[in-house]
Amino acid sequence: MKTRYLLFSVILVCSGAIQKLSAQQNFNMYHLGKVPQRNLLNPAVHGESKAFFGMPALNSVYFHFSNSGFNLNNVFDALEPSGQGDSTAININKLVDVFSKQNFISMRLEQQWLFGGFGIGKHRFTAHISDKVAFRFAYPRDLFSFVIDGNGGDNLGRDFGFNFGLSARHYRETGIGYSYQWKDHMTLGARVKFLRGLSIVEAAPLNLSITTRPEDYAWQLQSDMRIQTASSLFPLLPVDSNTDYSFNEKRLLQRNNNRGLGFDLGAQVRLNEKLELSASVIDLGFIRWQENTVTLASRNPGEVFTFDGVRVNSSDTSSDIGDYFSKIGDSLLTTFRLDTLRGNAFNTALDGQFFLGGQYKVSERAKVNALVYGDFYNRRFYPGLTLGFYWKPFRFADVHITNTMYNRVWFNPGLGFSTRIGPFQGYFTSDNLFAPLLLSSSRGFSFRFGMNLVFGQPDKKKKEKKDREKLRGGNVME
Amino acid sequence: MKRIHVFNLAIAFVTTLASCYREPLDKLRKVNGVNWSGTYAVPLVDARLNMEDVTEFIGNLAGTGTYPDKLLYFEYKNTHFSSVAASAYRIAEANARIDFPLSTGEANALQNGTTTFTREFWIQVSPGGTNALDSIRFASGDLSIKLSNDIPHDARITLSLPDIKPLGTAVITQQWTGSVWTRQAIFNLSGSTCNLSLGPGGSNQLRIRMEANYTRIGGNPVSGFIGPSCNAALVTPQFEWIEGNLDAWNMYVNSDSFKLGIFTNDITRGKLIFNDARFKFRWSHNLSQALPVALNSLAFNMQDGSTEPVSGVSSGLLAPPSADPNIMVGDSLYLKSTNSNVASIVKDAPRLLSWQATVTKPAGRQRLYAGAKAEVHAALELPFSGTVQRFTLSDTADFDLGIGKEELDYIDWINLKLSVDNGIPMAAGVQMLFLDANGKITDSLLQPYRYILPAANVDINGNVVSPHTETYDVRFERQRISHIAGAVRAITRVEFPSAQVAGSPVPVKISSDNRVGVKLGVHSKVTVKERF
Repeated sequence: MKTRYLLFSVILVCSGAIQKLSAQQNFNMYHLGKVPQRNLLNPAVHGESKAFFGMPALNSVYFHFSNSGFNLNNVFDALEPSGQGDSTAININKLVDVFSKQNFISMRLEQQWLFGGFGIGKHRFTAHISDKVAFRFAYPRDLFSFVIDGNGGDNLGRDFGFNFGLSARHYRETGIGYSYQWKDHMTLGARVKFLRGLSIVEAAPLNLSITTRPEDYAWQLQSDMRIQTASSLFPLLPVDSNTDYSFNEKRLLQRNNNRGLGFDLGAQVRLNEKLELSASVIDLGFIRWQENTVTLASRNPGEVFTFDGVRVNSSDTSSDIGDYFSKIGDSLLTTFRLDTLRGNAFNTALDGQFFLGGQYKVSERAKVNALVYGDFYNRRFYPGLTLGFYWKPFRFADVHITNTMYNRVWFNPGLGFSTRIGPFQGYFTSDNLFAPLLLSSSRGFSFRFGMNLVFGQPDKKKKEKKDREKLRGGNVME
Repeated sequence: MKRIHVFNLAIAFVTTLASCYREPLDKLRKVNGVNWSGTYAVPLVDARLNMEDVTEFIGNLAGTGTYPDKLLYFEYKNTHFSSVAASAYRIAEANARIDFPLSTGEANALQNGTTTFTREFWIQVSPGGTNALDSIRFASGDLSIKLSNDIPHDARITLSLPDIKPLGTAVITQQWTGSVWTRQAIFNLSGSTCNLSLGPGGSNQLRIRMEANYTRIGGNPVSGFIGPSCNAALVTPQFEWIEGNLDAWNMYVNSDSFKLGIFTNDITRGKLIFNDARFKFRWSHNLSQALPVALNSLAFNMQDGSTEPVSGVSSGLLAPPSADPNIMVGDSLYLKSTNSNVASIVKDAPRLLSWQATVTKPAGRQRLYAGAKAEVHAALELPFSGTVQRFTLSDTADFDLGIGKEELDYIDWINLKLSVDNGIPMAAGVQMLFLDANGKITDSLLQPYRYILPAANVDINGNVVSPHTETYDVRFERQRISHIAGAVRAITRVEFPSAQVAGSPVPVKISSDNRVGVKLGVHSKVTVKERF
């Protein structure tokens, strides 16, 4: 018992060292014991039921929002005495420091329309249909540094890189999964997913840089942009005046030519009675976008435009400053000209993720676990680490408490729980449940909930239960 | 026991979270201001000018021009035109009335049944004076002719202008049947050519001819009436050309003067020395004969009120004849240091140049077109070849920076960075002195004073060896900005000293090839400390 509390305390203390909160996805869900939706993160992992069927449209609803930029605590860090009693003033310049070189706002919405599965012997099958909407906008610290600190002083000659990124996509996923239990202690699983892209805006690169020459303060600008769009509804970028932009919701349900394929792979190994390891890679795949594709791309990527000031030439005949700025505009448009390409198909990769998990059974009702996570965005790798405590205080309910360290944020207390009454199972999980409470450190929040109908226990569980009863010398009903 | 632990943990957790609310709210309540500091650099102007642009800055003092060898010059000039021949030789309006009674023989013939006769008369076409026109082509004008008849017999009368082309054929033919009648016709003379030399006067007369045929009617009388009569009027005649023995014409008699503002104005100081001043006098005309031209006087008025005549003006100037009335031909007189004292006088910075000229068309036989005229052009050219000794433009004007003191409090400092690339052998200096309401100088633009644009490097002959290239800063701290913002008047001084060799100005030449580049950027630090 002491060990249990000790472990619990260690997790709390470690995770509370730095009080920041971010938003990630599915960290808590990965080890939430009885919930079949764990299978979506690792196709080798299943809930403790023989068969299940998710409530249509309500079996898994997931929402995630995060802003990696700054939170209220960062604003407090920028406070300094204002010289009037204990009042303070915000030092705007200090706010710049709270941003990392690249920051992003992300939002994700997943709506699972159908999800079900069953097991026959050592074979288990699952199937699902879901819509996934993901939005990510990356913005650079240099943008704030340029505006707030300015391009003068020590920043003369500095290359301000305004490297933005934008990714917004909506696609439908139809998946069929299979897993096989091998020699009692190992399960291997895989899922193939057929994808239909509905809409996408993918801007990468979306770069603009500006350097101020120290010798004459001239501005040197460079740009490199490529924006790809596609949609099953209509072109997302203006192409011509004859384009039909009317919204036809039926198009969202019909088949289209934005096809793709994805795979999930997973494995689970039980090393002994107490220790279990698992690993998975999900969302390996791509979508080929072919419908209503429009691409904007820099004609002269990397070309430098130098603004030396208001140009006064001997040949200038106009004294209208408007004419001059019009010329500058024309020159800028020529240098940073964007070509519009229509009808060119392109591929986008899914946002692949991997999980490495380990779980140690402390007692019959408690487990501690760890999860290593990783994903890629904008050519950067974003790792994460989750430490969790799983507890089953009652037969009909279990709780999973976690803390996740992800994207420069070390304290993300998560909470998940599930309950089963008869065949009805409900669950809720969040990787940062306390975001609304932790005003000063919140950077976002996420949650997932759903309801399932679950039937029976896996044969293996029954066997184990029977074995235990035998050891105790009790009667077992066959 | 277990449940108690869980409950305690939950209480502790909730309490901790509640404190998380209270603390940030307390911090937010204490915030009463914003501190911010930024440093910004902006390129303002990138000017690439040639010397012609620079001279525009003082264009109100003199015009500018460029010689074929690209040497620039200041210029005072004027052009005068004479009146045209159409004004000088105005054809007068004229009238003529004449009766044509039947002679005895014609009356007898009518008594016997029929009579036929011809009568002629003349109307005057003349510009007056002693001009004797042989012929004329009308540009416009009307000839009005009114015929009356009181002979009570059948008649056929024809009126014609036999010396006019293309109107030489019969212009009136009237068949009459035994009653009194009147007939009037107006002839447009535009484009008609008339021979005026066939009349009894030998010139200036246009002939009108009448041919009549009468046939007797019954017992009507053959006498006791006047006979046919004719009234002719020449109305608003304008000629295209006239030809004959024409009087002399003083086409142009005029005087003019140039106020030399570059030496005499309220805003310049110092001395401009032009080494090679020139006077150009040019005349032209489109007459078919050579014209004598006279530049009767040409003299400078000096600053002390004295007069300095210009030498080198020759008599007997002549303009050659023009073969085409649409082409002006002429000649010119160019006075410079080699043939006149004009250059040496200009070195003394005169106040005024005045001149008087005449152009005369001599008398004689000739054809003169209506648009014949003469043109006279005079110009004083001051080539940019010389020395500028602390030439300064100075002006005092009201001053308002247009920025409030509160706004200026945000500015810690302003740094102007100038990058100059001057290929002109002249420097440019600008200084502004800022005055408060009491007229006291509170600050100046440049401390210490320096040329904004140092002159290009020249050799001892004043030729540009290399442009002057330099980048420098002009910095304004908060206190100086405050002084400038508080100023209500400003004295602006601009000077253009020529290049120096070994500390002394040397004569320089400035051509349109000389160029100057100026880049101006501003760098400023802004600090805001606002309290709510």
